[in-house]
Amino acid sequence: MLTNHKFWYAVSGALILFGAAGALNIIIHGEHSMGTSNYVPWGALIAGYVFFVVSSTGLSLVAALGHVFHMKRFEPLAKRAVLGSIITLLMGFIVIGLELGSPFSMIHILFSPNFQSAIFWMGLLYGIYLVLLVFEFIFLLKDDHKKSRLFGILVLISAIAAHSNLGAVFGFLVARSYWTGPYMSIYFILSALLSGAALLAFMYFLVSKVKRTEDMQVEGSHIVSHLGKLMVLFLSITVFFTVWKILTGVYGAVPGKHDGIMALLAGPLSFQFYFFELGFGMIIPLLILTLPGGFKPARVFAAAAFALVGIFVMRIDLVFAGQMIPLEPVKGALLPQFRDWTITWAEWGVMAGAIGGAVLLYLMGERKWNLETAPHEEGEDEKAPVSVQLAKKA
Amino acid sequence: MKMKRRSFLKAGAVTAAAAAIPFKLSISDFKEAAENEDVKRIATTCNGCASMCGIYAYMKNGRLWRVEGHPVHLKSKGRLCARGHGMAADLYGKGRVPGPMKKISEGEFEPISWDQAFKEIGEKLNKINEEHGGNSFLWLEHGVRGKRYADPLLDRIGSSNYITHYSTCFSSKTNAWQQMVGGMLNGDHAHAKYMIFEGRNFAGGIIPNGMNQITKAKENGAKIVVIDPKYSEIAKIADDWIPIRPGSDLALRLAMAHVMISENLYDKAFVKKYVDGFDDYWHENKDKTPEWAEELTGIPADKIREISREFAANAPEAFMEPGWHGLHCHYINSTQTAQMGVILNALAGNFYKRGGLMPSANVDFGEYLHKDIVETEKGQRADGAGIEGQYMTVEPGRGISHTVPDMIADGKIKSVFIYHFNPLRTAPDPEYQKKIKEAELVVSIPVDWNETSVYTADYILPESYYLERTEVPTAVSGHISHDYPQISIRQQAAEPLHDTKPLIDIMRGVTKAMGYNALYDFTVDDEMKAMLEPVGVSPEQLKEAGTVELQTSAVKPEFPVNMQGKPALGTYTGKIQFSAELFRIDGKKGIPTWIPPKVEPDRSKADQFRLIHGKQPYHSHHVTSNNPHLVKITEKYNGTAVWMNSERAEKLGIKDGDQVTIASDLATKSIPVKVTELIHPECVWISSAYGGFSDKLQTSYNLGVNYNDFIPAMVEPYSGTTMSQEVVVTVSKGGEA
Amino acid sequence: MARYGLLIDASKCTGCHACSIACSMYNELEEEVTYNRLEFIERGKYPNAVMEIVPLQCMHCDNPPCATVCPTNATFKREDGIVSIDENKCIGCKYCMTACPYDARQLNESRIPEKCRWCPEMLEAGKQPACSSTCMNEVRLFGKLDDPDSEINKKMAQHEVSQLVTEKGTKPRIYYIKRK
Repeated sequence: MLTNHKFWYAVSGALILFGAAGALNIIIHGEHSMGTSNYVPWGALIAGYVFFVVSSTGLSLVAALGHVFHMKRFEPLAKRAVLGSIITLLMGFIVIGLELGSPFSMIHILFSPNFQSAIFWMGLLYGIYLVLLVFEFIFLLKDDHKKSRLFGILVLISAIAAHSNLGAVFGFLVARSYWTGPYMSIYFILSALLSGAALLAFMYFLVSKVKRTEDMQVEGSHIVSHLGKLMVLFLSITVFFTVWKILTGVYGAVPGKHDGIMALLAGPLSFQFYFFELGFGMIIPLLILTLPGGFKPARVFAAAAFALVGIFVMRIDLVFAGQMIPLEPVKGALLPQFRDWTITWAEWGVMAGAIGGAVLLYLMGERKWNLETAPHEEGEDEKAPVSVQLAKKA
Repeated sequence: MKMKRRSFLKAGAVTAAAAAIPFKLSISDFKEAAENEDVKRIATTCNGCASMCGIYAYMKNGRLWRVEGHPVHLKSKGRLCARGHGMAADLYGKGRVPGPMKKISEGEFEPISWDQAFKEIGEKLNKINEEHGGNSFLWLEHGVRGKRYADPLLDRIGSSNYITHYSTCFSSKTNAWQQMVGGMLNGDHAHAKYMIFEGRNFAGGIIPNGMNQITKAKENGAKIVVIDPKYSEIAKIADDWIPIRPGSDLALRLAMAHVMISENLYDKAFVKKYVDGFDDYWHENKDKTPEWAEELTGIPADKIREISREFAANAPEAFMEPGWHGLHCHYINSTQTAQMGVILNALAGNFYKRGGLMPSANVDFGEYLHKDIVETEKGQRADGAGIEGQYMTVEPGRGISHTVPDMIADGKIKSVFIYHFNPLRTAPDPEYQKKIKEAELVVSIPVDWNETSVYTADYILPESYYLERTEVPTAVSGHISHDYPQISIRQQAAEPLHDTKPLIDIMRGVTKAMGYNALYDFTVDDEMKAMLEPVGVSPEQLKEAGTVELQTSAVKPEFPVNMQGKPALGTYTGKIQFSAELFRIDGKKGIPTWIPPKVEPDRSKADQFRLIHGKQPYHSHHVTSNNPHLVKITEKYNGTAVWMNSERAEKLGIKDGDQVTIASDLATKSIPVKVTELIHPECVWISSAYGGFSDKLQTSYNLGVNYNDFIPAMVEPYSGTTMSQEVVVTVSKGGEA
Repeated sequence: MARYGLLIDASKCTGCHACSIACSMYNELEEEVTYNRLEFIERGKYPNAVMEIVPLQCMHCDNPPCATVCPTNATFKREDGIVSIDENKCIGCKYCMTACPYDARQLNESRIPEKCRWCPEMLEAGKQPACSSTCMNEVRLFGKLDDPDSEINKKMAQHEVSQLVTEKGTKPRIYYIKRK
């Protein structure tokens, strides 16, 4: 089933329909159809947006390992990774567009920019990033290694700039101690690596399976295994960051920050934190990968699938833990312990629809372009993958 | 369109201005747009509660925009409470009865024309009067405002049955003051140095200018003492909040008098000159020491001494607020408690003193001479008020409003007109009150689909909203002290939205159908002209100004005396009578002494409480509970919650925000709890605003619970009140939301 | 250009909520929106317990985080110190809502985060905005901070004043009279 691309068309179609219904509901009923409030103004779509743009950044960064940093084993990834990066970025834009109250007023970002605003820079940097990605992809398709590498470098720089700035959107918020500070920018970049590696492993495994049933060979198993190794590194980094986030949060009992951490550890977010963020997002994939035989493609695929679910929940936790602690402008005021929030079906729909959209666009990309990467001419110290040789023969 | 809230954009009158306004309106455009509006200001009076503050209504393009307090009116002085604003906004509310209605089945009505309604009601009323006599007719109303138009009919058909809501509200106070002082005085808050608010939440039942005077007096050094089982809103600005065991206020007051008399702190000269019955009082109450009261009230004897001494030391610029609902329809000893209010103030010698108690200034209106003045002999009052052997001591002018089903069951009452009164929700035991429908004819004259209209009325004749009608001028008086008399007028600001009429037109229609063609053969303007004639203000002047202060007959801080210089209060002796003449009848004592409350929670039972209630500053009891603007405040600030002392809650395993079940013999209801340090441990408190059960009022329907659900219809022996806090409930954790 | 400020004597507030509804009517706000609110605090143990009430609304900060984060300058500081909103420019990102440490913003039906605007047309006319003019206890006093003879300055000279959440560097323009 998973290897039949018709199945994937059907899945993406269903998700897109669900998403269209959710989007329509949000367009008609506005904020009423969302799980936000005046106290928790940023909803699940912000988490969804972060998930998609983190994926985009992650895909670019991992792609750069190959064709920017010449790590040969990752070179074949480039086209698919960059295509994935473009697609997830676009989906992120759609998701945030629905979260915005007046997306068409975005035009004022050009006419009346506020250079102090991280969201202004977010718009600008992701805009540049998207254009550069498109150029990189064009030159990759043309197998113009020089230019694609040049753009790859620019993409890398813009990705890091845009994405660390996204962290700063949260980090600049002096009012919300849970987010305040440089942590978010660094964390966003490093967690993007995990996202990118996991998503690529997930994609690559499926693509190679689908292609194989269509009598086409795609270099799969090697790369998936390599990605599995990368994942171990990135998972470890994520664990490291999570541990220190928790310890610093618990240690000082800083108002707001401490309460946010406690919401994760022993509050209303604890189930999803332990089960999904820690369990799915870190422990299970690490176990799968580090037990003997862990880098077999199917195992890596499973680890990646768990990690992707965990990463999604991680974004949800991040967005809500920062907001559900009531601000206390008047010390000692009678306030609820936590502010309520929820994720409505419309929001689930939009996020599911964006996943569907990403799958559909990717399938169309696979169909339209040849996404196998020709080997670089210089330095053929590693053997070209079999699939590439096969492709060349064909 | 972005700017849904600036609804004025939709009005056609500003098309030109609107064309110049961009797609979305920025805040800076607001001013410009506002300036282009067609705004009219009409001076009228508020109807948010019974105080009738003067207001300005601002109409923008024919729609009500906002209201503000009238700058001259002595009760508002330019300021208004939340009710005043919310009530005005509810002009466009969804709960209003859109036109005359006829009942087709329980809770179901069909629209009917005014002519048809008048014809049917007139015919039925005539038939009932022929069969049972005119005295079988009852006019039941909130109080006083409808009397003007009830009287001609009552007099013509010969019915003595005019009953107001006051027995559910404060009759114990008015009765005691009438008998002992011959009328009521008001605290002179602005000049007082010491004010005791016992069971009186001035910041809940609000006179805006009164609160302004109280807070100003406090800034000038006045001390405020609040005695209340619950930390009420006025307690917030008190120097001292003294929680008292509910039902024991009489004991506290007896002990305070004891301190003042036994320690020779009372104003002897004043008492000698202006008080009758002091010795009898002292003889009767010599044993009511602070130690004795400590036992009953839970207030330390030393604290009682302290406030009594401070009260006396600041006299006569000190008073115990005469109060209204607070203590005066709550317990079996409420009349005696009110009597002690008179006595304590008299001991302080503060009557007719600046900073003490002052009278309201008088206005001598002219009288409109009715053409049809045929009077029919009236029978006995159906409620027994003022009748020997029944409720001899109850004021007949106010009556007993909460036993109407009994009067109907006894065959005394056959037809009922209910004007702006909702006994099904504001009187005890709604199931009992529902039996009002057993009368042969029930006509309700409300503005909204209140419970009484929906469950008892055969016909609903909706009156126009207060902003849609003009009424005769009224003298502005009561609650606070003001030197000069004022008159104010309620006048139409908005065109009627629905097919409604003012009361005078409704009465004219009904009585014409009965064949009385000249009974209401006049207009409000005719009456106004006649009334204003001797006042020296023209109707035009009054309509323009809304409220006018007359520079005549200012009140003076002088005890009223007759030509011989003798005290001349409206009492038997002309003095303040510590023994009420009327209360001596039937072997009752005219002098207040200790009477224990009728019921007491068993203090050994962890789940027993006395159920007490109070007025929230943003609701006028149940009247405003369907007002979405005010209910928004309820929802945001947890207004329906029952207050429970935290120590008691802990023993019951109840946490703040939990759902709890309150049960009495009559009802079992469930609401969320507010666990707090701010209430006496032996009682639980709920707001008087909620518990709506008219499904035609969407906002109030099933919102919270009401204290009237839990109490049977009882009659306090002296003043006929409901004794609404003589109820013990059990509270347990859990229950369905 | 005047510099406006607001002095609040919270000790006098008895929680009647007239300010909130008077404002809603004056500004013709949607049902879900209120520009000002009250915070309640309980202190002490029965019977020596008290309640405190603190009225809150947009502080019109001199360093307004909502304006700093606004990507399109839809929220901006006027010369007279009032923090204003150009609703045309608002993209509805709600960044201002997350940035405000006072929870002063309220989302309207058009998904624009509104807030108290200090009714400059009233202040310019020398009048008190509706929240203040209706208040029976005279809790609020708006006035010109740069006019030494203004009532607000005279009153501020008589009392010790404090501000809310100063540790976030917002430099609010609402002052609260300190009471023991």
